[in-house]
Amino acid sequence: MPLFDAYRSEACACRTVNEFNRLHIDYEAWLSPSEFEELARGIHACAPTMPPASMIWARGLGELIARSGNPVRAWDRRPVYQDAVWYAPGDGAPPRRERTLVVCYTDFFGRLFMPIPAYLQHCPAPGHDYLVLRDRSRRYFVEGLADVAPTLTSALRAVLGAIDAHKFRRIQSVGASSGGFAALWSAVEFGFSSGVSLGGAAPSTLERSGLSADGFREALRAHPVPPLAYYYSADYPTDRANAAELAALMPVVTVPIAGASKHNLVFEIYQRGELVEFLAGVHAIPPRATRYAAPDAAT
Amino acid sequence: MDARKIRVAVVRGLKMGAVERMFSQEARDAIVEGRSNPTFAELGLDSLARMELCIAIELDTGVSIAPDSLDLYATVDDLVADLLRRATV
Repeated sequence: MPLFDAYRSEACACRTVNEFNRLHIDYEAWLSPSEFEELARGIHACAPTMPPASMIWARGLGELIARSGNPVRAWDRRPVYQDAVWYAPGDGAPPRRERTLVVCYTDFFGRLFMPIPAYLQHCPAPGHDYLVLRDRSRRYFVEGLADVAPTLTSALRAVLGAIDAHKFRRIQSVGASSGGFAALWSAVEFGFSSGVSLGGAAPSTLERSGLSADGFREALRAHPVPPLAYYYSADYPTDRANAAELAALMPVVTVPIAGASKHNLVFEIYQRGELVEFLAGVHAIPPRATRYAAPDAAT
Repeated sequence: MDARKIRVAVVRGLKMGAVERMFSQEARDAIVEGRSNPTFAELGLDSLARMELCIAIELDTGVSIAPDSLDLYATVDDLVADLLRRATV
């Protein structure tokens, strides 16, 4: 059980609650659901010798995953680069030419508003593969990926080439929070089947951080715009303003989630027990405006 | 360790926690220079932001604070004062 052995070694070296949190935040950014299940099984089996923080973590994340109602999914996790991980469906999946590749741009914490194993457990399968990208520099992906290339376009081209992405039936991009802008941009730049931002940034967000969004504007001038969607919490002012800014810039369906007031709309929908249905709409092509939508104040 | 270094650590932690107000360089500078003293209610930290703040504080100052303990501090200055006391004991 090498995964569990590695985890136990790291967990037993932690001395403070913050060291445990750091360890668990890292694991939550790359474990697949089945890998987490394997790890949790080991933690529970060795309960008397495991730190209490490990037990609490395994129980908490286990509950997040279990609530999907789906059997735990056995993705085949394939690291492409340090910050690009491909989760392919396991045995019995349709051939690649019939599957959709979802390019996922994570938030500042390496998540999709949820730990990666919890998100992967709730989203559509097995006709989908997920390519999860992480920008540790927290530059909204506009400066590419650290170990790949220095721009969004060059980094994505390299990653897609490394996995022969052209063999997929279609490609969709999805991004959460700080990853949302890159999802919209790359959908336009690469001509994906659709692009979705979940509470993501707008050009002015980047510009306030000293970054340029000119490449995105140039892509909008140079390419046809595929179906784009921006989902956001209806009662969260920052994202409502981002929705309005994006809608003024290009054709994008803005979907305000009624009754949601926090930036993390995915977790709010999870708490309502409706995440599986919500993500089925997000990952549809074109994305579906869900029944959670409030009258849109952004457009 | 002086108060300014602790303020830098706190601001770094708030930024790592993706606290929206900390996206502004001016807001970060104001806290580091002691010109701004926001309450934690105003900063609106979620559970992940609390974790990131406490991780940064521990890495930068050596003082361990549990995320739940942040409820003991009303403002950033309250936290800085306690960290300064504990860092110099």
